Amino acid sequence: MNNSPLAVLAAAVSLVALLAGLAGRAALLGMAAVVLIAVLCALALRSAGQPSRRTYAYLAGFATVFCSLLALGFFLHDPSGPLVTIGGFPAGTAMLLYGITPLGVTLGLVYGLIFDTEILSKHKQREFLDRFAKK
Amino acid sequence: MPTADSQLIIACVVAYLAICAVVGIWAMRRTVSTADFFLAGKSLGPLVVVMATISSVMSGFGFVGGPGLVYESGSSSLWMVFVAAFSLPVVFMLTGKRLRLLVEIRDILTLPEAISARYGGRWPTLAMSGAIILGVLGYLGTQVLAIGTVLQAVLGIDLLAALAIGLSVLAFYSIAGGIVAGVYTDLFQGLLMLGAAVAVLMQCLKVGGGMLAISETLWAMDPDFIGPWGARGEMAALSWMLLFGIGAAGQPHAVTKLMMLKDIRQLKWGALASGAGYMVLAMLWMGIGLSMRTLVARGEHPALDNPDLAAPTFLLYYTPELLAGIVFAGLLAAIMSTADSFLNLGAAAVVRDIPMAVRGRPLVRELFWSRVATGGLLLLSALFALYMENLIALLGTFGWGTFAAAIVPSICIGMNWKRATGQACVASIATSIVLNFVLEVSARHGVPLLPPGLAVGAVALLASTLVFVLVSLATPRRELATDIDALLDV
Repeated sequence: MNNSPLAVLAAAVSLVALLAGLAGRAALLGMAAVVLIAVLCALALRSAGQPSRRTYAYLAGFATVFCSLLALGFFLHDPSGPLVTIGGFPAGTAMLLYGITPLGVTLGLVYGLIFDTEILSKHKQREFLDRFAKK
Repeated sequence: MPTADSQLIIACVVAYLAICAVVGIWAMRRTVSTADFFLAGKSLGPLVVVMATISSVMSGFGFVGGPGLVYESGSSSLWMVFVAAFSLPVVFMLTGKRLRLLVEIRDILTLPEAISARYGGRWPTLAMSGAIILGVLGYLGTQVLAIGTVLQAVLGIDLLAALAIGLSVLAFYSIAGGIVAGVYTDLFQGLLMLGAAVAVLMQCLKVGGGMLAISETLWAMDPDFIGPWGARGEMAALSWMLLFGIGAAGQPHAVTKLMMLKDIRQLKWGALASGAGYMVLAMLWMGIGLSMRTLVARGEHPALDNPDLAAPTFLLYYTPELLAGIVFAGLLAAIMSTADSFLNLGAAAVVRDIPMAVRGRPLVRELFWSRVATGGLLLLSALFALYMENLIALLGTFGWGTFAAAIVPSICIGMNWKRATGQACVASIATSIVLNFVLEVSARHGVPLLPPGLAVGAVALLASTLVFVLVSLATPRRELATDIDALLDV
């Protein structure tokens, strides 16, 4: 599978993140980092064949929700205002603990759900090992 | 460090050391070949692999440095630890399948050997071995020093005696049992700490008067401290998110664990289990740091001389003795599990990877020399820790970043992209080592080259990824061996 477009995209996103970091633009660095994670996952999935639309949609959704939660963190944190809490934490911090953390867990869940179909089907595994496994 | 004046705590730590020794004896009987010594004979079940992965990533830094960072700068360091919810699944996604399949088709025991199979030639293998040895020496030195410090506090003895006891046990089980002993002590430690982390979090909330009360106290002290980015600011928090979120896939002590699975299909739920399991341990990291800072802010406890004292102080003064004993034993276990993983990686680089790259064949009596190299590395790192503390501190600081920037491009991208070349692999590893060294040394000498807060390792990771892709596109594509070509399509 020709994965060069995704590899080039990963390089381009890395460049954006690097420049954002060097320019002191933390929000842009954070969002570029999220996109880089999604691109690397797509690279790994695509090399085994075309992932399903649902998986692409999940990765796009993962990156979009993650970036939105980061933006929410900036928006909700007002050090000069009164303390507003969600589940015991200041609202901005709650976005990390109750938003990003469960979102991250879904990546492991999706990996398990698509393992037999898009990561490594039993058929593909058998075919590959029959041909190349050490005898 | 405060000294534990409790028979129960001492008993827990001594019991843990005794269990390690017993595991070492048991593992020695199962270790009859180099494949057993370095890869546990590819015989591990999913629970063992998941717990070993979690335990080796959550080193002594996680239990001492982590709460210390939270005590010092609030939420900032939570971006290192809570990203594990997705960073460990990313490890599985980017590396698990192909590395494990590679083990089935080639005689692969180590990451540099995987590099050799993927790219061919000696330079990529040598570059990867060099990066691993540098990182291993740094990590090992800091872990060795931590073993001495913890035992010194628990047993109330001097540093040399503490090092002698701790390193004797570590040497015994890691030399005798290789990685088999390592992963089974990891399993024991991981299960112990999962239970203890929940109990400690409950204790933290009780001592602090509940999460809302803790937040109110810390908000009144400094709203940024308990805000989403912590006292170090958003640049530090988000560059740590990048470094730890993606960089976990470049940690050899985590990645090689996936190569040890008995059955590749057991990868399936490992990603979810490891991410979720690590989250439970993260509660300990967060809970102790926030509670200790709350107690100090309320004037209920004097300010700590050193942030790293947050965890031992909380355990000794605010935790029931038995729980403190279990966590102290777990703390020692966390340090030792990381140390044994690195001993194993370092020994493999010295005994197997470098001779294979240079001579084209392994050493005769490889298992024997692997044990000798393990002992030698332990001795060397103990000497470094005792007499070259500055060097160790420097190497320890950039260990994670060097591994991340060296391994993410060459393994995580290279194993998923046929166009990647050996020259790109060498160039990205060189970029990783040079950038991490130069930026870290300059910052330590008061000449910071980066904006405040931006993590050195994050810059190195991004730069090495960029270099890897650009050099791959600029250099001629090498014909892949048939099996490797097919592997990259599976």
